[in-house]
Amino acid sequence: MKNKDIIKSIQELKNISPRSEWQSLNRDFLLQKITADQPVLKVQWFNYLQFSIKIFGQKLFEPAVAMLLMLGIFSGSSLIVNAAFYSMPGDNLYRLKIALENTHVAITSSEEKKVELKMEFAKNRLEELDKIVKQPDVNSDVKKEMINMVVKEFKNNVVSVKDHIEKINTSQPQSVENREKTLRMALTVSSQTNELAQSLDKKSEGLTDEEKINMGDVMADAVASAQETVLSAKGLIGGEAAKDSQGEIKGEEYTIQDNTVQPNSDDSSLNDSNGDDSGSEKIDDTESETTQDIIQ
Amino acid sequence: MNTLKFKEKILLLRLKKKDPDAFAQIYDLYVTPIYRFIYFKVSTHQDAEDLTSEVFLRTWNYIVENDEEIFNLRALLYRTARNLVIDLYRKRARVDLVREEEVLLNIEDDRQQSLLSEIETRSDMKNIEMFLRKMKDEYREIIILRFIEEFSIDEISKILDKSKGAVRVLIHRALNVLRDLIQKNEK
Repeated sequence: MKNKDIIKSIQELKNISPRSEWQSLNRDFLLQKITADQPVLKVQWFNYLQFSIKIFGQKLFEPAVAMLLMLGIFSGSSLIVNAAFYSMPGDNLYRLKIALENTHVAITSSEEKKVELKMEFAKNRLEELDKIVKQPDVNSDVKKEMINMVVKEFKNNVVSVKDHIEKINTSQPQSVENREKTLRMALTVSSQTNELAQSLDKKSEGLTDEEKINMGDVMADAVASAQETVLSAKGLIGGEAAKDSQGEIKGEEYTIQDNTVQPNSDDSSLNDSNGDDSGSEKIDDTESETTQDIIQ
Repeated sequence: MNTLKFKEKILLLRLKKKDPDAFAQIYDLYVTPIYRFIYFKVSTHQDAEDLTSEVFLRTWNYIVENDEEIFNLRALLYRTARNLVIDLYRKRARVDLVREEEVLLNIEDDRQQSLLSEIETRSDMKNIEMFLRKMKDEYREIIILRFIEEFSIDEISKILDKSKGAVRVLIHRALNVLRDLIQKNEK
């Protein structure tokens, strides 16, 4: 006989039950006994409330429920962050996206990393601008508002890059290694901001004439900010190079060219050229070579 | 949480407030399984009935007089039943030691009871009950709890105050003993 058969025959013993007359007589007897000397208290609504809270609390701390809850919160927040990442100006989550970017910058300790992040975010703004410009079925007023928002954020990003650079420039004298890093960063910023300014100009070409007229000032302002940032970066390069030329860095390995060390008159003119397409191209002429030449 | 457990919790809440209707519902819900559980532990229907009645009364008193939170009413009922059966055997054993004359009578009575019980089981019940009654109380108890009352390992461990591992081992051994008994009888 197998265990399975034994269990089956054991389960047949479930049929055993007490006599029905005893069952009901005993029931009456017990009820009489328990109600003889004890007053009945009514269960109040708050007893049920307490009970519900207790049951809910117990359920909440059950491992499976707790795991599911954590998973839900985690995946929910990841989905929101992910959705925010792909949001566009005008979307509800766009503000969250900007806030997340600002938080990312705020929790970064190194100034160089902050600059890198801001540059990255400025690039993101341009990608968004590109998408907005390409949107076909959008009301021109809405489009204007979206472009305005993106360009404003772009400007904020490049302005804060400029602020960071100035902060680095005015900070305490650095070690040889740090100075080298700063120089590299300044060159990258200078080159990339220049590219961004150009890109911004190009993207504005995709706008209709009416949009160009409307957005002209905003765009020019953003380009000017980008160019100011380029100048700041160049100023930093100049400052660092000057320190090097004074022999502060031993075993010098840099080859410094005049046109990159000093912001030349062309660069200054760019600052005034608000919105002029040629301005950003002029910067690029010098930058494309300097980035590779200065640091070997 | 399944419906029975939820219902049990609500009944417990009302029982704390000395609600006789809740008590009546609990009685209706558990009188048969408690009776059956006791019946396999004692030899007569009379003892089973008396102890079953006592189980419900004791449980009522325990719930209304103690502030201690009860997590599993079913387990509490079975634990009470188990303790009452143990008390009964202890009481009988003590009386047996003190009054020798009665011991003889008791032995005679027990013999008669078991003979009667055996006849009864052979005629009315399935053979499996007879084999169960031949088993050690510990094994019989675990088989009833697991396969007749269908308790989980966790619940059995709470009723018997043993670890889950010990409960699993006990179930395995009890089944082996029962199978051996059945096989010996078949031979």
